[in-house]
Amino acid sequence: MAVAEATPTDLDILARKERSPLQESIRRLLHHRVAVASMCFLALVVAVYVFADNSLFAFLTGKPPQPLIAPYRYDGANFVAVNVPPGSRAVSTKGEDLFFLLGTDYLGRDVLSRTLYGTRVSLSVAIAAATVSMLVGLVYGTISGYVGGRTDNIMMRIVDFLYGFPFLIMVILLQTYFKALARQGSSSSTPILTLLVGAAGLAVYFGGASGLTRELDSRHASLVQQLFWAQIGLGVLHLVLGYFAGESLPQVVYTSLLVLIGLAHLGLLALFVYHGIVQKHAARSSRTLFFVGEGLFVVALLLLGVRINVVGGILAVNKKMGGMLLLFIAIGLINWIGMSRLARGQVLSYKQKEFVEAAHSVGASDIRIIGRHLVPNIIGPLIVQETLAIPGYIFTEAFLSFIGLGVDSPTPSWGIMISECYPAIRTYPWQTVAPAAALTLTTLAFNFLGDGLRDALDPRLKE
Amino acid sequence: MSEHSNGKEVLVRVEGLKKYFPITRGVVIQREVGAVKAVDDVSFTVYRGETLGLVGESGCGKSTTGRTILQLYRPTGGNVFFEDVNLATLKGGPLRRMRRRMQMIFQDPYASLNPRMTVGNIIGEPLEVHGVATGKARRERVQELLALVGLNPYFVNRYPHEFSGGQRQRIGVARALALQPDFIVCDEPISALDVSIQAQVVNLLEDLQNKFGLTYLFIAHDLSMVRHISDRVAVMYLGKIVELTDRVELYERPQHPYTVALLSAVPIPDPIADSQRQRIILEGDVPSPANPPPGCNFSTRCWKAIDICFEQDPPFIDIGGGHYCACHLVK
Amino acid sequence: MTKYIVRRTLWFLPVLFAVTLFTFVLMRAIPGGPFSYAGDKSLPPQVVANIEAKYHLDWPMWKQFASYLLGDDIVDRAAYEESLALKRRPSRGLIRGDLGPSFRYRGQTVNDIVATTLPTSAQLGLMAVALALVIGIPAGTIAALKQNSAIDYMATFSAVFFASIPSVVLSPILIYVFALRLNWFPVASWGTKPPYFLGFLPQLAHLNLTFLKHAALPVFALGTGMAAGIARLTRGSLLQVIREDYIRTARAKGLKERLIIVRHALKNSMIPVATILGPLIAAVVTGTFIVEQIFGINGMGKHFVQSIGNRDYPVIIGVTLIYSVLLVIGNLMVDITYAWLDPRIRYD
Ligand SMILES: Nc1ncnc2c1ncn2[C@@H]1O[C@H](COP(=O)(O)OP(=O)(O)OP(=O)(O)O)[C@@H](O)[C@H]1O
Ligand SMILES: [Mg+2]
Repeated sequence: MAVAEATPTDLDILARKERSPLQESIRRLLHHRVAVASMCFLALVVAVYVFADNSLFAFLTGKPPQPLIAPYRYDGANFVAVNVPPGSRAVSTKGEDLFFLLGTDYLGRDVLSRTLYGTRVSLSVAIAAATVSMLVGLVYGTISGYVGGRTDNIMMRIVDFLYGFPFLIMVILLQTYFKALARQGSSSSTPILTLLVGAAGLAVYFGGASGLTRELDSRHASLVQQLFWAQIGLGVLHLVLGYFAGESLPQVVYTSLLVLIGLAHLGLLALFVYHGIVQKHAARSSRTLFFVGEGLFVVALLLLGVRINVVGGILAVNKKMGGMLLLFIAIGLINWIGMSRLARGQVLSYKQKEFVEAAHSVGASDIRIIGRHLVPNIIGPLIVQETLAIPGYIFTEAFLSFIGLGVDSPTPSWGIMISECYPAIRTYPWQTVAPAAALTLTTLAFNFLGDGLRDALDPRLKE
Repeated sequence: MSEHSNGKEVLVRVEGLKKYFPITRGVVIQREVGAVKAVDDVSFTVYRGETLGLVGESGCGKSTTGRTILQLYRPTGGNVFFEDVNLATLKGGPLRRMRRRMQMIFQDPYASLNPRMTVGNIIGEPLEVHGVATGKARRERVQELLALVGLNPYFVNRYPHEFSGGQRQRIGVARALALQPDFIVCDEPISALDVSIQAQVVNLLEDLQNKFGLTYLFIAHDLSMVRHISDRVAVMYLGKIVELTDRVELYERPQHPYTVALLSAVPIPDPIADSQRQRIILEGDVPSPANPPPGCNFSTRCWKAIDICFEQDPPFIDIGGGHYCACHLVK
Repeated sequence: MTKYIVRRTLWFLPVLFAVTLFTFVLMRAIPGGPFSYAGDKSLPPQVVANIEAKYHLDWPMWKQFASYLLGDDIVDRAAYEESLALKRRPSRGLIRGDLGPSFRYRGQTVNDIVATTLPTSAQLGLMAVALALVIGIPAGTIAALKQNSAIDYMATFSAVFFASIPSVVLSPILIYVFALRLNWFPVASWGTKPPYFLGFLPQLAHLNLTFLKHAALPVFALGTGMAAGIARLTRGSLLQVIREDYIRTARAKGLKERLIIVRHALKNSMIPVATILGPLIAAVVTGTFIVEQIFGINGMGKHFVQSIGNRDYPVIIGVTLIYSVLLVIGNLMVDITYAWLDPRIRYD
């Protein structure tokens, strides 16, 4: 091998640092002054987010958290210093000296502390909603674009359908519902979520089954059809039973019937697998749809039957988080549709590229092609889009909190602070100004960062 | 191992290969309203160690033929025998294992390398996928391959955008060679390159063929380059092979009217001969592969067409000495 | 094209149906009915039961839904006759445009509420969109034409800045500065009253300085964010279009610069801008929730937010439906605009 002998030019080449496209982008980003300033600011916000109090350590030791960066607790009311202007001092009933850099609100709570604690809600919402929408959108869009064909068609029809939904209003309604549930505090089992899962499963199942019937020859197709209707029939039986279970059927009877039906479901499926039809004859997409749908459907039926209190569980967790969990999910779900369309479009444009075919031709698996070849190439625009969407999430949180559907009091959120204080803006403007400024600066930083990222990832826009 | 009558060993045998791309309509319920017949009933053999050229106009289905042979597209009909294994019925693991033995070199050196991977990872991917070599061994093998295609072995950590078109194409060749395949489909490997570099890449391909006993299916639309590199040449028109024979035979005694027309358009180095020669300018456009004419596909543009040409599809038959032709007028 | 529009319109029917069903079921599933609490003290169960019977809340869910959708006379003739006899208002059903009674405001129907509040919201929203377009498109165009000049930097910066101020923040600040400190504008309420021209436009006689003064702050609060978004988008896509070949060709042909921009670039650069019309309408809708609340404008958004607090379910469902129809129409308009701007798109 000629590897050993290095000519001077080779040494030149060796001395030159190789830069990956990613490193190039980072370098360009670091040359973008506004973006760097935004990143510094956001780093500060993150620091406040983490160290507003020592809950991180308190969590480990089990002691109640103490304020760290924030001067006081967010819910510490001081009746000796209600509505005092910025820079006021006061002596508490216990004789402590108090200093309020940004004044206090109508309960005498320190505005600065509350504003600092407010990063927790806004940033949590931003991160969680971004993650949810990114993951769901990426997975959904990538699968849709990569698998293509009928699967793609069905998946995109679903997206089109959802696109017509007034999502924010739906979130408002859902939040109303969840808030009412939480307020009531009862663990009454509500089958809504279960029904949704079931309906989704049924739709997928139906898509898969209709695909199968088209791809199989007539004898096998009729078998699939029979299976499909048998399962639906069982499902209806299940629902009817579930409806009467609480009222007229004794628990034992109901439960044993339920188990029987569950076994019948599985039996049908086993019969199907035994015939091996799906493996042998059908396209992978219909097969997958069929099984995933079947799974979801059965799971939904079981949940409904066993009356596992999904909603109750979620609500409990939500309560522990000060009412934030539902916000995360709701806001994240608003944006996944746009993300999935973007991801799908990107996948479609890259799927045709020859390097993907090259990967196929060397025998790479689908997972590998998606993971190594597609995702690294399509992720850039998605990240930009997601960063630019974050201000929207923060707005939405502020908006929901403003109309009383956000986090629970006394957890401070900038939206709640504004909504509580703006009626008194004439007399106590500082109460509104502090959270308003924090909100604006944070969204501004995300917007600038997003712009910088876009320029860095797509240098063509700049020059 | 199948032996052909003339004593040459058959590596790939294509039988009645068809690839139709469905045209669908409708949203929720999709109906097939037709099909693009990109490859429509094609049969030929490739002998071990030879270079079979495949020429034809843009859009006639050359790439689709190559890709369908390699099972990058699953055939709509027909069989592809690699040695004695029918690739058309293989799936999953067995097919993936067969992929070690057949590779592809792509037309566009800019699109065929993943911009987010280093050269080392690109060339090493086949080794990784098939678990052939890991760690240091893989790196060494990659460097060896780089040297083999005439690139500096120290380039392993570079990214494709740092290379010229010719260098990129060499990287593509190195990737195709990584698993030491028997058969390589070269899909217009030089048509995107500068003329000055084309010869270098072709020479490289020829050297590699001599060194490793490779078999090529060489797709091109440049007839002179095909003449240079191929042993035998197949001419394709609208999804069908219309003529297939020995290189010399084809260029000196073309039989099919389409081949005659194609060859008449090739400039000849000798200016006098070139000016005296009669050029045949084909009239009309190539019909859409979604809607080929009845009878002979070429009948709509053929200046010799007779009645039967508009009614019956001519069979693809041996007219003597391994010279295949699909024309009613050639017997 | 007509066929396409018809098909798209038909496609919206299931969406609207799903929205209705979802909202209806969700509202009915909320534990504790709308009449469980009256102010702070709970009503006696007997009274609650009586009121619920009056609104047929004792019916099974499917029957309630059917009655909401189709009307009492179709679903349950006997109950229909009974309601008439008791001089109650039976449901005439969504299919006949009846959105039902308000639970909170006795004697008012949701239709009444919508009729009084929607025009105000529509005026506010339309003015805000107009403001956004009038500021956004020219600003974006100028910024793109003078790329990398001081004007461009200023426009770009202020666009990002204004896009980063939510109306939750902007509205109180505007009130504080311009209404309370400077006393230039009134603090609250809307300047016109019904009857309206064409159902929602203010009468000419009302279009005076008072109206504009009342409108200025809320319209600005609602419109600037959108204007910023439009300006950013216009600039970006115009820059891309300008660089494309045919503009170069047009230039080479010797056309005047301005003509080039107007004829070729601007029309083509409006394509991405058209796509945000849909989200824009959504933004107007949710924007009015806040702006109307803060500025004390008696519009549909304020009413919607209040009825959530009041558990006035028929109002919530009805208003949700109206918003859905608006969004659906908005999306359709986007598609049509798209087709008009980009003739390459074929709809078959
Ligand atoms: N994935 C696909 N889906 C649908 N139609 C396709 C697909 N790939 C190719 N075709 C169609 O099949 C026909 C043959 O295409 P192919 O790429 O094989 O031609 P080609 O001979 O390689 O042309 P070129 O010289 O331009 O590369 C064309 O009409 C093309 O439009
Ligand atoms: Mg090709």
